[in-house]
Amino acid sequence: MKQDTWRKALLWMSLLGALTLAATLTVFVFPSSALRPWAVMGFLSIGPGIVIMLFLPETDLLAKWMLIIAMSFTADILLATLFMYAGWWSPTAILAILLVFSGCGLSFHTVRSFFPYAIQPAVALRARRHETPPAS
Amino acid sequence: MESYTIIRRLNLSRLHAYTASDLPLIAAPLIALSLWVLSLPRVDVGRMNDLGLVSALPPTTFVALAILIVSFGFAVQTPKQRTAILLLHLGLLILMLYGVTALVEEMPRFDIVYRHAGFTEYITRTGGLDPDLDAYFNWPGFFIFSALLVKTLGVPSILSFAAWSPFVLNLLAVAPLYSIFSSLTSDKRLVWLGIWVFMLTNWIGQDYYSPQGFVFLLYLVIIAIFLRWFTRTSPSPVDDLRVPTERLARGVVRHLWLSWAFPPQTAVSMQNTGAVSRFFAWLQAPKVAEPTISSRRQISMLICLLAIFGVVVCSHPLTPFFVLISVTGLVVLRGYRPRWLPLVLAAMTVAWIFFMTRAYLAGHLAPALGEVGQVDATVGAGVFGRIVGSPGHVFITLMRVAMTALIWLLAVSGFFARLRSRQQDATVVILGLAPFLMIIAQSYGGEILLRIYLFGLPAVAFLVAGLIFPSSKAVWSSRQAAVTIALSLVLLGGFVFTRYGNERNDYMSVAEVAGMRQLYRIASPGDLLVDVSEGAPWKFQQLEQFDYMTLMDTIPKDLAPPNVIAIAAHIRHDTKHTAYLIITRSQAATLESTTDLPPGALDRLEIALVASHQFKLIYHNQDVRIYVFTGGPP
Repeated sequence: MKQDTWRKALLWMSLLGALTLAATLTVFVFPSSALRPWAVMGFLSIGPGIVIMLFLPETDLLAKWMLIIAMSFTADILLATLFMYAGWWSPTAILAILLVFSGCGLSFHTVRSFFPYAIQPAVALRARRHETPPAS
Repeated sequence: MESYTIIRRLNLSRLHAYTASDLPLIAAPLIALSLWVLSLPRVDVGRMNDLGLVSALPPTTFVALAILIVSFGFAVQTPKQRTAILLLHLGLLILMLYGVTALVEEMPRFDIVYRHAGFTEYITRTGGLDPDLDAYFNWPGFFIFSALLVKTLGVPSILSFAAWSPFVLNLLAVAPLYSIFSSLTSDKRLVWLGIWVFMLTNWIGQDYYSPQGFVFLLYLVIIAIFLRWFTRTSPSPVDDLRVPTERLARGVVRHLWLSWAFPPQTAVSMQNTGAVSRFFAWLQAPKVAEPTISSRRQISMLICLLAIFGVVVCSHPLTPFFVLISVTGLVVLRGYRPRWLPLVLAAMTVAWIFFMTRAYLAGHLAPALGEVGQVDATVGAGVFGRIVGSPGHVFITLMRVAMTALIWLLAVSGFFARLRSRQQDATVVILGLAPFLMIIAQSYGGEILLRIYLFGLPAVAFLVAGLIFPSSKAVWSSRQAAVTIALSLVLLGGFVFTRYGNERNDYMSVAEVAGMRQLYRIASPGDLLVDVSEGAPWKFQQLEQFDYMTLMDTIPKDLAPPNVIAIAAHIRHDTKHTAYLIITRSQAATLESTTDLPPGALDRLEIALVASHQFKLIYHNQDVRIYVFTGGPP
């Protein structure tokens, strides 16, 4: 991965990780925290969208933000509506699913960024072939 | 050495790109912001008259806006545009235009926001929906999301954050507007000025905390995705009509408007051809940028688009149709792919309506279908029906009509200016005109013209900006800077009246909301709550537990001169429970400014009600009076 791309991916993953952690802590550990509205609003507004956008690389920053926000709200609303019509209405459970989704997405992208060979055996094999010096 | 490494790693070297000539363009908006912030404490919303918020704003707020506009006029002209500087200007404009009410008013504005708080409260309290209670529960996506927000944020209701909705929604609209305009032109000056004009002309006020405000943002995102990531086929399906139309034109409409609108010099490739051929060539002109997009990427974006449209479909009854006609127009007339997309969008819309909104359809299908084709009635209700009330309100309404006409006129001029500069704007024209098809289908309670204006506004704003930048020759021009500033000042002058002209009615005071909270403490489930006219901040809790009545809607002729016997009989007929009559400041303002009742009618009505001894005052504060209906003289 190029250094610039790697740096940007790291930035997005850090943001996602911070939001996921902040929302988890303020809702489940410190529910009376004054930071809770900000943390949860921040997470619901961009968290799920960052996970989706890490799969869809986009160079234009404004287009990227547009998709992140739109896909976050879309994921929130579709999941909440599904829960409502299924008769399982539980805001905490909906938030928990979104947090788990973001956590899993973050883990996947972390592994893909830092240990690409772990999830891409073919790439690993090719890379090893190139790295191995020819036998003299 | 070490600090250099950190700077390099953080990529702060970009700051080196800024030169001394950029400093005034950074300083000016910050000065404007300081001036604006300092003037806010002097805003007294209680002093507002029929001209709205403009009557309560100190002159320094307008000076601040003027500084910002002048600065933007130069910033957008600069050959090496700085995105950060332009975003700073836009962000501050949005704050000053759309965030002002959240800062100077104590409570969220608009009585409807309180009703939306009631829908959300119903969901959070019961954990379910009641489609028979209100039409909104048949399209509940947005309210389910609101309930999710309230519960997970740990706030008492949406009233905790609803006041910031206009600011947030318009700020979020910048990114999709940028994407839309960037796919229409390579001239970034036009892109930024288009967004700027959009913000100065979005006076409709549908950006309050509401499903329509939220899904309009998603509408912009859908159009942005479609224009940016989907490719065209050439010729488009409509090209099959070219030959028969050409024959028709030769015989019937030769030398008419097509010849004038599409003269031979509009494009080199169109020279020496007939007007119809030139029209079809204009319609089929290639996209400004046709980047190579992999089919895998297109499928991903298609899934995103359909998911977003799914939210639109389940959140608002009208917006899916605006999406549908815009996308259909682009597919049929411009040849965008996939051609089956309109069918899928239509199927999703129809499926939701037929399977999920049966409760609503049962009572409303026939009236809704009855409105189809009633264009005269729609225009009458949407325009002429609103020109009533106090002289101040009539002035505001006429101002809205005039500003709309001016903006559309500027857009048409911009279109022809760009056409003469050989710019192909077929996509823009389709996006601007497609919403007008909705006028045939619905009056939407007299609001369809407002919605048409809103959904056509991105295209209109682009074309208005095109009047200043008709071609993409990026050269510094003091004339263009001056015209940009002058146009912005004119649009700002119109905006403050058209957007906030009814602010005296829309503003809700703390005392009013406190009075309504007291009403819900006093009243018992099943009681009848009566207001004289619309405008009271109520229905924000226990929505299904009370009956509601608005006298202005049911017995308007008995209000002036006051006919207490008729009013009492009407209330008695409507309930066997206790009835409460509520009179609020915003209600009085609405009644006075937007109806044809004579001045002082509400005061005379209240005096007559008290004198009849059938209404007893049980609560009052500076903005609210609550009477209990006793049913007869003591």
